Amino acid sequence: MRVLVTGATGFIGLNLLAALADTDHEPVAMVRPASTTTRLPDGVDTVEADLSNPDSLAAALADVDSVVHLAAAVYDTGAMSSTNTAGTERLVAAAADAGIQRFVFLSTIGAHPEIPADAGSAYQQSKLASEELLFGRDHPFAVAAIYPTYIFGPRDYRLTRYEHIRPIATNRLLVPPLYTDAKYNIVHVDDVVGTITSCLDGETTGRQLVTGPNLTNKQVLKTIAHHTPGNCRVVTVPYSAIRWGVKPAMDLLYRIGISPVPGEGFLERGDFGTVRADLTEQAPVDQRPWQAALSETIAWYETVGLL
Amino acid sequence: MTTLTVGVVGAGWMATDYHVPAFTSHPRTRVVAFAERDDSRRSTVEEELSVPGYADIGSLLAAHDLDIVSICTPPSTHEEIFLAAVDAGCHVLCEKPLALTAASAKQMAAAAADAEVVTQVGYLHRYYRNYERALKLLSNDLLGDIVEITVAHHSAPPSQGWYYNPTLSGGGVARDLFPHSLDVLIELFDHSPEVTDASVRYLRDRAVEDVAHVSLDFDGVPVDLSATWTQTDGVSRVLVVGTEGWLELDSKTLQGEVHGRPFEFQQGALPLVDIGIATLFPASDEDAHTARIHDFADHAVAGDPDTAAPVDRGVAVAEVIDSVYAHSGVDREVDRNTEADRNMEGEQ
Repeated sequence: MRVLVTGATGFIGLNLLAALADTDHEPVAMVRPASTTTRLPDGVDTVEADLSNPDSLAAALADVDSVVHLAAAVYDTGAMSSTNTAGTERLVAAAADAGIQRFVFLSTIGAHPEIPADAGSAYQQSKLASEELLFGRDHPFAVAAIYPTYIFGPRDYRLTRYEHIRPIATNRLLVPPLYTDAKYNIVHVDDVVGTITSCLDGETTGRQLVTGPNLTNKQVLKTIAHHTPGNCRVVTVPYSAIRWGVKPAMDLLYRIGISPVPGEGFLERGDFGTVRADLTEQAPVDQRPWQAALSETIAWYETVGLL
Repeated sequence: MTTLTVGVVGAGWMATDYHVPAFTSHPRTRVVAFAERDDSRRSTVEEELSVPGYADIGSLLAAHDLDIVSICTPPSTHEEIFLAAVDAGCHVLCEKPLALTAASAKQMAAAAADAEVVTQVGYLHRYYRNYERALKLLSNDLLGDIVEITVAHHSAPPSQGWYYNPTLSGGGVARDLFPHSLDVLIELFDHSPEVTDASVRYLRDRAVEDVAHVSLDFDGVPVDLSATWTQTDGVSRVLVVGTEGWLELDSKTLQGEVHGRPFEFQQGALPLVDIGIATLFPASDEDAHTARIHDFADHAVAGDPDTAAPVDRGVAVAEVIDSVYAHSGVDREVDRNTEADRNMEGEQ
C-alpha cells in the first residue's frame, strides 16, 4: 500500500518512516520545497506539495492508497489556523477526490472529546477545529484520529524535549529553582507510530487515545537523571517549599540585581499531558514503558552529540 | 605483546615536546632513536632522551629496524624522508604540510600505497573535543542543510626562519595554517572542494604571504577560509550556519542553537553547573597533540591504514593550497633539494 505522509520530516514522521521500512507499506514523503530531506531514510520516495495549494495536494495524492496527516504548525501560532485547520480541510477534500481508502490524522490529547481542551492553547484549539471536519461528516474513506499525550523518543531534531534533559546533564545537583513543579503523562513515540501502522492495516479506526501513566515530577526527573551522563542528583521538594522558600529568595535576588527575573515564574506548575485516571495507559497496541521513552530520547541526544 | 619501535626525524620542539613523549606514553610504542642534522642540537637531545641520534634518515634506517617513522622536519624534506621510510616498510606519521606541492604529495601517496603501510598527516584540529563534537552534530544533520561556513585562523608569525623561505616551506600562511581547517572540512563533506576565489597579501617584506583568503564550494555550500600571521596568541574559529540552526566553535568553546534551543560545551564537555545566570565547566585535561599521535599509534599497532588523515588526505589538502596560489597569481613551483636548501634544512 502506498501511503502519503505529510509532516514526514518531523519528529513522528521520521520515526514512522523508519518503522514502515519493515512493513508492506510504501511511504511517500510529502515535503515542501524548502524541507530538509537529508534525514529521510535512504530510498524513500518524496513528492513536493503544500497544504496551502490544493492542486499540489491532488497531484501528491495520485496513486496512493492512504494518507497519514502529521503536518502541523506546532509552535508558530500565526500559522496554526491556516495550516492546521484550513490545511487539513484541503487535504481531506483532495483525499476524497483521489479515492483513497484510509485517512489517519495525528491530533493532540486536548482535542479528544473526553479530555477538556486547554482554551489558552492555540495549538489544541486548531486541532479541535478539525474534529467536526473528520467525525461530523461522511467521508468516502475510513477515518482514524490519534490523541497522544507527551511524546518522547529518538529523532527529536527540533530539540523539543532537550529542555527536560539539559538541566540534569549540566548540573550535579538539581534543586529548585533549576526545575519548577510539573506533572507528566509520557508516551513512547513507538506507541504513536504503532497506532498509525495499526490504522493503516485497517485494524483500528475512529478515535484512538495513546496515553501513559500520570507521573510526578519526582518520577520523571529521577528517571532522566538515572539515564543521563553526569550523575546528577535530583532533590525533590514539596511545592510549599517552592512557594515559601524559592519564590521569596528569587524575588530578593531580583531586587538586588543578581537574578534577571523575579520569583513569580518559579511558581508555575507545568502539566505535560496528564489525563483523568480512567483514561491513562490507553492505546490500541502493546505499549513501550515510559522509562524507555525517556532513556531512548537521552541515548539519541548522546548519539548525535548533544549530551 | 609486541612493541613497535619508533624513529623520530627532526629534533625540534614538535619532536621533543609532543612526538617523543606521546610515543613514549603509548603502551605499544617506544622511541628507539632519532635523526637531526644539526650537530649541537643532536647531542643536546641525545643527552635529554638517552637514545642515539643520527645525522639523517638514511643512517637512522640503516642502524635500526624501525616500525614507525615520525617526521617533524621542515616541509621541503618530507618527501625524501617519507619515501625512504615507506621503502623500509615503516608506518609514517608526517607533520603538516605533507609536501611542498600536490605533485610531491601524490608521489608520497603512491609509494605508501605500494608499501601498504599506515600513514597519517599531522592535522591537529579534529582532535580537539569540540571539533569531534561539532563533526558529530553536523554529520547527524542537526543543523538541517548546511547553508554556509566561515573559518578564521590567525596565529603569531612563526619564529623559525624556514617558514619564510618558500623553497623550504612551500609557501606562507596558506601552506602553514589552511591544512588544519581543510582537513576538517574535507572530513565533514567527505570530498574535496572547488576553489572559486583566492587571494594573498604581504604585510611585511617577505618572500611568502602573511594573509590568505580562499572561497571554496563544497557541492554548492560556500565556505570562506581566511588565515593570517599577525601578532595574536592564536585564534581559530568556525561558524556553521544551517537551515535549522547554527554553531560556532574554537578549541575552547562550542555553542549553538537548533530551532532556537541553545547548547554550549567547553572542550567538548557540558557544564558541571548551569544555573542560568552562571555556568561552571569542568577542568579539562585535553591534549589534542597526544590524542592524535596515540590515535596514529593505535592504527599502526593494528595495521589499520584507515587513519583519521592518511596520506591521500594530504594530497587533497595540497591540491587546494596549490589552487589558492594559482588563483592568487603566485608561482610556487620550486626547484627542490638544491644544495643550498639542504644546508638550511636542519634549522628548526
